[in-house]
Amino acid sequence: MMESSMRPTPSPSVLSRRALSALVIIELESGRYYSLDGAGARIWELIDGAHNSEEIVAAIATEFRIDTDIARADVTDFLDTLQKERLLAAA
Amino acid sequence: MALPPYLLHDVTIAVTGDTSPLEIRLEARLRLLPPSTMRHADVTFDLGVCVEPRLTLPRPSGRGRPVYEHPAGDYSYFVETDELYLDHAGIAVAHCQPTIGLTRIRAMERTTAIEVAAHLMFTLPFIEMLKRRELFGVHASGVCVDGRSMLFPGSSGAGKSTLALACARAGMSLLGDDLVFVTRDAHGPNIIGFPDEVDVTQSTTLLMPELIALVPEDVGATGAKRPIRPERVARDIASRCEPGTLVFPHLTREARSSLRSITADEAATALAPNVLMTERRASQSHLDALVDLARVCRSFRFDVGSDIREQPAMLLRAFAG
Repeated sequence: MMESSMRPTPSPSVLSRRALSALVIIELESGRYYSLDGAGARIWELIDGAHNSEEIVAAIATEFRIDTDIARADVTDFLDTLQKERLLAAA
Repeated sequence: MALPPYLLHDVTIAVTGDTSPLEIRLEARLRLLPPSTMRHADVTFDLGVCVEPRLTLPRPSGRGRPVYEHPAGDYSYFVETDELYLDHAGIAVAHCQPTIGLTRIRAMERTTAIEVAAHLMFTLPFIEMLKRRELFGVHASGVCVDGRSMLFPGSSGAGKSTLALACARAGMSLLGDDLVFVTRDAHGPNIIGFPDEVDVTQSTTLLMPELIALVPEDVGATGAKRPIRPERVARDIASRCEPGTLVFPHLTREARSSLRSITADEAATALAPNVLMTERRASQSHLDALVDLARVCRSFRFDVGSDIREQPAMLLRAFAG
């Protein structure tokens, strides 16, 4: 699990581009493709090395008008998934 | 025989090497491109026919990662040295240095090896070298209607060629049978046609029997696909046009075809596999161009039935809609 002070960044082998509401993501090493929309796409945009995970939680809670604890659980789960898929740079 | 340099958009393509059946097959693919007047080529294909292609072009050292899945092939990209190396069961091998624009292709002198060399060994490095020169490949057939494109992206066997042929036979200008390119300027993406040979399968000739008379007897076809010169099936060949629609074909067993609108998000996701997993910056530019294309086009899923005579009119209605 990622610590709240960590500032996640995309892996250097990841490409991404927003279409309209969805983000298209490609991981060059594995050759996998992903499409994210909604909160997932927004979280990905906040994974820029400038925001720590608690700041990402706060942004998601505000923008999607959800309880901070629920946002924290969702963001944590999502970051874990991204890490398992090797879409995040090694800490 | 030295082939003249060709021009695709603003990229000069040279083909050098020994006189060979491989050169003849490549000439058949490139012959409709206009000649280039530039003295120096941007990209060069150096061809050769030999007994042991792997000995002539050994695999680069270092770690390669697969860029294309094929049961008979090793198609790898070497990140550290930025090289593409394609080895098709030892019968045909290509070594591509995309930044400097050089691909060497070696093949055994037998029909299957020449065909593999003239197609996969040529096409993948071609796409990669042009990608580095801001021409981004899309695995699609396409036609041009009133200056705007109607592209049919899809993998092999999705029905791309048959749709493009049906549209070309109905009077639309052909952009390409299997590959087109996207380029970008200040106004957005544009489509660049690639007037390659048209590969016709038996299932296509069953739907359009009039094509049988157009298939030459003596051209190097191996197996299921037969090449036809594009000018024999299309009244006009279009070299460039503005983006119009993206139509993603899906073959069905239904009698009637049906068309439904899809979102730019769905279209962008469907186009993403066109990006070869190579150098990061150029691959990001490729993805950007494909997503930009999806954003400016109207997009459809086309469930393709057996009503091929009705399909061009159906597509035109959607195009005009």
